Amino acid sequence: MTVPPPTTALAPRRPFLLRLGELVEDLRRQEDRLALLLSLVIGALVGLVTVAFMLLTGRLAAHMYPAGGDGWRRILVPTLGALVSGVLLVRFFPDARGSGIPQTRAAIFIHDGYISLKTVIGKFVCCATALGSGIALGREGPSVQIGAGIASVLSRRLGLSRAQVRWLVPVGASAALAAAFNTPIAAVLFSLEEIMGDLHAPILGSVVLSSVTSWMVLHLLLGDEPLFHVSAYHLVSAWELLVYVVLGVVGGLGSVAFVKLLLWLRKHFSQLPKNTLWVQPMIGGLTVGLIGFVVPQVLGVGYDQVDRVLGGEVVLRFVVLLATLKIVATAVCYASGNAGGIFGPSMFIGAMLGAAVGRVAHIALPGVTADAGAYALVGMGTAFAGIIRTPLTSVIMIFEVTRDYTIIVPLMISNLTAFYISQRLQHEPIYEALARQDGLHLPTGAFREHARRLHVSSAIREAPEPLDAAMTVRDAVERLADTALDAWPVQDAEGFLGMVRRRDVVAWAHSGKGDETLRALIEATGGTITAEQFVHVHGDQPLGQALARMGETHQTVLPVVSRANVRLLLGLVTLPDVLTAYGVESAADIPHEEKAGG
Amino acid sequence: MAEHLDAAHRVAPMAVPTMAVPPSTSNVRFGTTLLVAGVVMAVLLAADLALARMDVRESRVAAAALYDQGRVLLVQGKAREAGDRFATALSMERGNLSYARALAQAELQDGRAEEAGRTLQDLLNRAETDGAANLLMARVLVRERRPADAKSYFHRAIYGKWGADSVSRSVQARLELIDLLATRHEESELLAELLPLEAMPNDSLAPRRRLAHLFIDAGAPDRASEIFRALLRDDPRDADAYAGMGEAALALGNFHTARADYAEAARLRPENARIVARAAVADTVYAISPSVRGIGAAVRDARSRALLDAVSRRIDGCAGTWTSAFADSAHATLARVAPKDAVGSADAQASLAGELWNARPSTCRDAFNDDALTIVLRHMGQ
Repeated sequence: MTVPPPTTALAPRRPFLLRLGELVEDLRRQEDRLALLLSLVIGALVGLVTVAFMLLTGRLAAHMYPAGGDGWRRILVPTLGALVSGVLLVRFFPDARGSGIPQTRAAIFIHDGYISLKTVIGKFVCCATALGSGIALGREGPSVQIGAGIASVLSRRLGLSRAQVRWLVPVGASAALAAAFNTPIAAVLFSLEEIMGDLHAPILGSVVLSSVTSWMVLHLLLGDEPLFHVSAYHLVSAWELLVYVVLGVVGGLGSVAFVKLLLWLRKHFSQLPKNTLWVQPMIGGLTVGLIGFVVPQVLGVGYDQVDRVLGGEVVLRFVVLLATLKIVATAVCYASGNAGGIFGPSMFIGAMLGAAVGRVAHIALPGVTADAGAYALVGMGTAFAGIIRTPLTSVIMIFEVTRDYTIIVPLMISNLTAFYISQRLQHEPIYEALARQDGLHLPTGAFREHARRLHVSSAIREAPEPLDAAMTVRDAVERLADTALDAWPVQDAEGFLGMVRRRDVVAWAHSGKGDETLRALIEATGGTITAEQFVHVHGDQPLGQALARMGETHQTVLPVVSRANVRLLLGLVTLPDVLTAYGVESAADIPHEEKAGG
Repeated sequence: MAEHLDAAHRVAPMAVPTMAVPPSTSNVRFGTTLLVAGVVMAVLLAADLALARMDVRESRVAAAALYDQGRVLLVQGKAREAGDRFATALSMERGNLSYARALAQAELQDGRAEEAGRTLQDLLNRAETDGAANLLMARVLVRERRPADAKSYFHRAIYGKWGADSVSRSVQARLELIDLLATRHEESELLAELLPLEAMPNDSLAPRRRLAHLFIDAGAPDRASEIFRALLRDDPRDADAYAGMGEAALALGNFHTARADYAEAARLRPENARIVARAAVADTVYAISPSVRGIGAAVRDARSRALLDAVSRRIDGCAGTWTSAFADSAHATLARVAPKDAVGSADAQASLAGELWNARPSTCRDAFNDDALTIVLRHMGQ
């Protein structure tokens, strides 16, 4: 019997589940990969849900209002639709009322990003019912809450921490808006500008990735159809810019009228008895139904009508009538508690106001003005800037819708004019006012602006005479005996070297190292500027960052150094100084040290 | 220094939580959630695809119904209502070029040339070689009094894509261009458009007759004559063909032949007032033209003198609008060929009459209506 030759030894095969487990383990521990994966998953999931939401709403509306249908449908359908959604909202989904933007912000700033699955489902069902029945609200705001909710639910199910969930909510919101409006860049900006209130939010990468993923899903499913079909417009004359200023004024005033009416009505609706809550949306439905019976174009979000106006189909009296009726219909629908947003109606109102201004201008100055369609286009952005108060988002959004660069300058002029007027006449932005009516105190733009204005330079104090790096620890103990500062700057011949903490100096003196130099002490404690952990701030950094750094390093004194030369000491910033800059009375004020020889 | 700054930035982490999953979460939970998310996405994708397909199908059916309604309304002359139907149909099915064309046609028919122009521009951005769209755009531009731009679109229409029945529709586009050129008296361009039509086989009478008349307008009466002659070979009693022959002969300066052809036409259709009137003009031309053969030197001289007198009278008649430089020049010339200096110089007088006629300013054109004198003078001036 021959013995078979030995075969090459095979490595033992690990079970599939074990390898999968390792893969999962590897993934969950690698931060970058996980962030990438979550952005992609949230983007794709939210994109798919948003497309389903839009298609369902559209199909429902098409069946509710067949071509050539009887006029009575226009009264009955929105009334019943609002009644059904009203009952659902009160009985099952109380958190799904309204647009979804203030609710998303509340989730981020108050509830650690928590949005329940029930709310997501409720928002989807109630909004599809209400919008499909012709309620004069938009689908974009609800999409934002649905997207944010999906991100919240998914990240919680993945076992992420509260802080992580909180940061992923805007990622979902951005993905939803990118799909709902077909504007991925504007969606990113909106998430940062309005939802987060910080254009420099560090989640930018994830927000962009999810937005693009969602947008790709939209394109794969529905093709490359823009939301609006716009002719190529151009600036006919430089004088036309003045007309765009007028449009900004009109848009601003229209925005203020809309916001004030909506808030006023909502305040009065909220004063009605609680047991009428389920029937209140029906008042909005009936109102829009009665208006829609006479002027059907007011029903629903009205993008078809906007498309026509953008195409130049403008009859002056009619567009003025539509703008007025839409303001009333949307304000009543929203205030009465229907589920739906105000993005779409803002665009509608702006397009009609713009078309009206453009028509008048074209009649009065035919030689120097473009067609009314161009003004309708700019008007959309103008109303958006006036109502939503996100001027940058509105400019980019219209640019993305038109893909036409020439419209940018008039758009910016008009938007900023409307934004300024709106800001002057309606101090509180709509989403902040809505949240306040609900008893929520979210971070306001004014607060953010105040916080943004506070820099390290606003709390800087003059640095005391630095100790010499060659000074012995024993001498330093004597020098620092009377100071209230916890740390002191040290310099050598080349300039600032680092900070020595008083307790380190005392500890070294007591441990028999009194003859060592301060240079040795700084190097031993990692405080020298050549070390990785050299702790410092710059004058132009936010004050909050200095505060955070004090917390991380457990130091109450930080050196402020030049950005051009870190060996140039500009001053010190102390914890009491920071608190004073924030307006907090400090019990432990540190007296300013006298400069040696000064 | 750079490393110091880098170090400083590393020390300042953003206030973002780490994305690593907390250790408290089990791998099973993590993996299962991702798996469930994948399944949900697959289900949603299937649902979305089904919904999108249904949406497209239903939208197409509804759009087609609206399009049909619009066609009926357009035939009934209700262009505004038809336009509404087409616009809605187009909003339901953006890629449908027929809906866009129909909308533009309705807008044009409704007098909304500017809107039609925009609709067509969008359409042409997507299908720049679409023959029908280019033809409609040309019509819009004609309506907007922009003939130069219109001609360009007519050419695109002629050489564009037409689908079924492309030859006749292309010819139709060319005929519309020819009408525009004839109206604007652009003879050389007109002739260039007529020549391809002449080369095309055509058995029906009306287009051939029209083509022949257009050749006269284009300054090619000999080609017109050939066509009319061919028509007469087919039907020797075709009065219109005789009249056409007469008109071509007038343009060629064959006044004797013209008179004979018109006489024959008038004989064949004495009830046709236009033919009878043109026959009278041909008679007059024959009677006053100094270039008619066989009339003798004295008669030729007398006719030349009469012609020059007639031109000078017309000139005097519109002197008020004549530019002063031209008037002075003309009167000086007339003085040089006064009877005492130029007796018997019939050719010189006739030639001068022709030159004066050719040099007449636009402000004096009304003085020379299209009558026998004009025909004779045009011939003199050639």
